[in-house]
Amino acid sequence: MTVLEVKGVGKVYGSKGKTTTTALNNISFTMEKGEFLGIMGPSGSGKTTLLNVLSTIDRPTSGEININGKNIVKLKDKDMSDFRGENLGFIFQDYNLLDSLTLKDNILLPLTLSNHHKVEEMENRLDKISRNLGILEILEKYPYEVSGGQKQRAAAARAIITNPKLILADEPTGALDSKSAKVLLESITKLNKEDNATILMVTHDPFSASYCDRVLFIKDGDLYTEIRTTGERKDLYNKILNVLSVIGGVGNEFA
Amino acid sequence: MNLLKLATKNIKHNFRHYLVYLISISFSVAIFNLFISVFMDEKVQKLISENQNYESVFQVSAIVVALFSVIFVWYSNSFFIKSRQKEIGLYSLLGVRQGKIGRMMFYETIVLGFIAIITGSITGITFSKFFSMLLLKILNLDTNIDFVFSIKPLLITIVVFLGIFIIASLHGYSLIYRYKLIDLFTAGRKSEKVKRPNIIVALSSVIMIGYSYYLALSSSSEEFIKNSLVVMVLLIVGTILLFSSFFVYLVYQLQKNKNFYYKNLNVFSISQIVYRIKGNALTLAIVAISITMAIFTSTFTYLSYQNTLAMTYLRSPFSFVYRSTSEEIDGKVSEIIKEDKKHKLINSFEVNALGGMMNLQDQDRYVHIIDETTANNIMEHHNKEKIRIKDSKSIYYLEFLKNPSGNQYVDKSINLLVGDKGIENLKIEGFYDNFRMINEGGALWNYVVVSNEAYNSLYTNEEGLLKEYRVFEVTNAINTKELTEKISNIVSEESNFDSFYLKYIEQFQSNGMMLFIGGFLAVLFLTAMGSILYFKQLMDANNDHQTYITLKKLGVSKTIIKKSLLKQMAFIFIAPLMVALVHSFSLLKVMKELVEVEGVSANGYTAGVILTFVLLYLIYYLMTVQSFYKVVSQKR
Repeated sequence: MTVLEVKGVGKVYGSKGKTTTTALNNISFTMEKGEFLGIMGPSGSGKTTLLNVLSTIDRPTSGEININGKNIVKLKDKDMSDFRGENLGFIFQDYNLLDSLTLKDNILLPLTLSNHHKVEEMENRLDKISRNLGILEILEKYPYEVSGGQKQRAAAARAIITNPKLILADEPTGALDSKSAKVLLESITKLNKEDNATILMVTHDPFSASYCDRVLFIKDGDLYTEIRTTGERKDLYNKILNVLSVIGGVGNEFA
Repeated sequence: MNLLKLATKNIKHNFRHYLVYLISISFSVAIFNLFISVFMDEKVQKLISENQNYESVFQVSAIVVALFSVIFVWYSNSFFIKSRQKEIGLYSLLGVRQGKIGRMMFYETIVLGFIAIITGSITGITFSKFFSMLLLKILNLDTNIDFVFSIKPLLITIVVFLGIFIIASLHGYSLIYRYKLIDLFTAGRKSEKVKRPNIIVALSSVIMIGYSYYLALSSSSEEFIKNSLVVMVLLIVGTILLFSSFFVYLVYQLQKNKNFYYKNLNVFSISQIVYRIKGNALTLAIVAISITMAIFTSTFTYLSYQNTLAMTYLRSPFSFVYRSTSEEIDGKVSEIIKEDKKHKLINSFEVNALGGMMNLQDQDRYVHIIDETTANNIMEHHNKEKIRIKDSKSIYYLEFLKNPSGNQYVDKSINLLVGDKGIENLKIEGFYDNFRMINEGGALWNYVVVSNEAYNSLYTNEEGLLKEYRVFEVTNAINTKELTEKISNIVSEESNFDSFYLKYIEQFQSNGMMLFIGGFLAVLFLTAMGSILYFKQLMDANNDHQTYITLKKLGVSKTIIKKSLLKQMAFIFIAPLMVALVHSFSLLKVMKELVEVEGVSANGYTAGVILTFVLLYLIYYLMTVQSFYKVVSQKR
């Protein structure tokens, strides 16, 4: 089943009469349910713009984006918020947890917004997810009392608690040390494999990207190439490095 | 680029950012200028110069307004600098020396100060005529005022505010040195765990407030004055704890109701409310107490103003009273009163009183001693029950102040002494309080009514001991301006001339002035409080920006965010108002007891005052929600 379908999406910044910048040119790809997709590219390649239009934070200037068969480009502002809340889950580089809430309340927040979940059901879901992510013991703590890795796992829990059709992760390991990053990526992979969650992850880190099933490379607003995993992470990692050395970006740290 | 240029450029480029600050300091300039201008108006000045009391009242309130300006400008300035911490941090990071940044802030504050002095003065001068007219109207004087521009209030305003702004600038300058770079960047981001309030502390706040109500409501007016300090302290401490503890506790109780808590954005709203109350508890308590004071004072001044006539009757029951110094003058005065066409003579008395000393319960008190016949003539005139002196050993004692516990004097024995004559072991037959025989030119006296026989035995015509009062009652005493002037021209300086008209006008004008000043200060303080709340919320908004961006990313719609803000701000603006209203209702009941006015009600006025405050805070409330939303939803 196709969860995400991106058809000829372009984004041009700047208004008429002024100099314009093309951030996205003509991007097309699809994602199937349960897929773990990575998007890579050097700085300024359009990664963030792509994520923004996918997450309905920004609108493309051309093309079509179908999530679960619905063209989100045509949604009205008012409906967009609802759509975002019901269909998408987000994991951000800087966690974006609310400081004034405990991790538990942070995770439950998206559920409370939709208003049709019983408290009991909420707590069941919370229990299961936080057990999977290994944060059950720290649920009553506040974000500033836990480590970056724990924060990011809480953010991941928040992203999936609504059972979103699509989880969008923006450099989730960007602010983490390598050990925490590894724990987080394993958790995300577990969500992907066990819960069949559909995850799209933007990253510039080849190590993170090596956890994906498939990696798309963007360069100057265009789709450059894509590679698939063979099942071997080391293998994918090397392939990624090869592509990167051609299009620029992160150098080969293993060489 | 020199610093002055950089500073002016800063202002130009971030004008919107500076606008709020500018408006608030201009406001305080305008208020000060307005106040000074009103009282320096020619007509008002003439009035003030007639009476020393007015002068000091005016000076004290001018100082209060100036002090208020200092505090308000100081507050605004600190907020303003705090809200720019990041900008300052950036300058530091770019390698600008602290001294240079400090100087830049100094120049900025001075430049803004100049602008505020100009705009504030213009506003002040524009509205001052209107307020002068309002004051004259309250004082029942001719409200025709020419729009004359006078330089003096402007000069005073400029001097005072130059001083204030220089101090504020120096403060801003010194603040820069106190900040550390790291603090400047993470300003306001620090989050501290909000401690759950102790239930005992939470409940004690309610108990303290309740007990202060009880003390206020159950005590007589005499006890109330004694207890008032305790009542005030309990009320203030109770209110502070109410905001810092009780409300937080209540909101935490809401968290326990999971069905409510995990619904809509309540999870978030509630935690924000707790945060807000905790961070603003002291301010909120001060606001609540200020509103209470404002309602209380304005009602009190209004009651006094409305009650002037009744109070004057009490103090000056006759139209004219003076001490006779020669028969020639007495004749002239009687002639003038008789000849006057506008006022008819209703009654006149010759009241002879002996200035003596009464020893009661081992205390010597100065009293006026009059005989039974004279006393009863006056009692008859006042339509009061006659005083019945049983024998030469019995007396009546009359105090001019209210004294509910005075009945204890009955049956006590006293000694009277006039000069070197004296009578021992007289018995108090009866007691009246809150009563005046005749007007008093100077000091007020308590009276002792004795039998004619006792009076004669004490009688002396020694200078200074015997006081021969001439007392007149005419029709329409309230309009005896001309007659009063004529008589006062004849009687001698030492005759302690007193006229109902003079007392009334004096009382009316001073009450009117108090009403004006009371109302002015009340509105001023509340506006200031509203502004301070507004500032504080906007500061929070700047710090909360990221939070609301996150909510938006999570799919929270604008409507829900606005609803949450409405809820959060409601607590900030409406809670103190509600607390103040509850406080006021108990205190106003006490005041009725205290002032005890028959036929005069301040209910309408109080309702008007409350309505004004409610409207004022409602405007602030909506304005804050709007601005808060604007700040958190803008893209950076």
